[in-house]
Amino acid sequence: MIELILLFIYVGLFTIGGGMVAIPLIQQEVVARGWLTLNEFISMVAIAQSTPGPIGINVATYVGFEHFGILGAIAATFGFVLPSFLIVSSLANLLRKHRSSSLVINWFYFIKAGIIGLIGYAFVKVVLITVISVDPVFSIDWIALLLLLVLTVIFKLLKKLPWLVIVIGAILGMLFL
Amino acid sequence: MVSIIQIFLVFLKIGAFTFGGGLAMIPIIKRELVSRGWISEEELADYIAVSQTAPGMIAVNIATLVGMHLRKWKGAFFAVLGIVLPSLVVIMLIATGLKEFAEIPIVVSALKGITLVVVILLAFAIFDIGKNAIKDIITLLYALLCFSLVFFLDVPTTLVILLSFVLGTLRAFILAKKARKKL
Repeated sequence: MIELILLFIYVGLFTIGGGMVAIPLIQQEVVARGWLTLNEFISMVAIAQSTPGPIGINVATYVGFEHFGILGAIAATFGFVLPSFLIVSSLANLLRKHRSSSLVINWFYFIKAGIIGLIGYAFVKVVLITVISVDPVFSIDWIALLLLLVLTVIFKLLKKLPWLVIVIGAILGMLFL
Repeated sequence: MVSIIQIFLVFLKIGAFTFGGGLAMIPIIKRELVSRGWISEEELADYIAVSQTAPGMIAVNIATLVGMHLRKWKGAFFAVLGIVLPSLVVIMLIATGLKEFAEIPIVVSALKGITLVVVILLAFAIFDIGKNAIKDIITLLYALLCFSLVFFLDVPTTLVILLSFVLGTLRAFILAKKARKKL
């Protein structure tokens, strides 16, 4: 159990840039220890992606639960979150103190713009698995495109309730995809 | 003052609807937090920048920062608890009974529908944060550069963040030098 917590503290510390970064790290550690086979791990990641919640947390919970039950699930998640919790909350205090220093202003100037590039990358990646396909030849999934337009209109109309649009998306998916 | 229970419940809701990674959650987080007046749009953009830069998952980091902002340590603790609780419960249920969950046809179809919503959420995230991040031609070009680096050249995102720090430091020194010359 202690090994489990330490392992996830380590993973939490080296997850920089979001939960997806954690997946290969966890894979290496967990498969090498023989806690899960590679196949088990891959199907677990599929589950983590198809259930709500941050992907990294889902994987941590699963690994902990498989080996040590409910306590393991809680311990793995706790270990995973601990480093970032401590680091980020200290950063919050530092940020409050130094937000107007010229160095911080200029860091944010570039970081924020860079993040737009990263979100753009995530956007294109998701479009490429849902609507457009370029492999082996360029093709468009017209049903998905139509649903995308319908959902965009619904999203605009239900601006106050974005979570409801997720539910509607799931229902439309069950019906048409 | 915002109550601890309210903080917990709002992040519980965000956790329950997090699909497709933390970045897709930006429009939902904005809707839940900015329109409640808990944080400003500028602060949200700041927090997202810190969340990307620091270790940990983006959604969890945003929860920590907002909780801290509202009610210090207590707020941060309950915000994080709220955002991880749906994962804990749902994954444990699935791990006990439904190991083939991700292969059930209706789940696969529902997920395809949700992924389309993620496309929309990411598009709005670009607008939401873009308003605050793209201020001039340099920031616009830099956003395009970062996109190209990760998309075409598979550069790790960590390096992109690191590059931002280097350029930011340079810009701070150049601006300071210019200001000195003017005096």
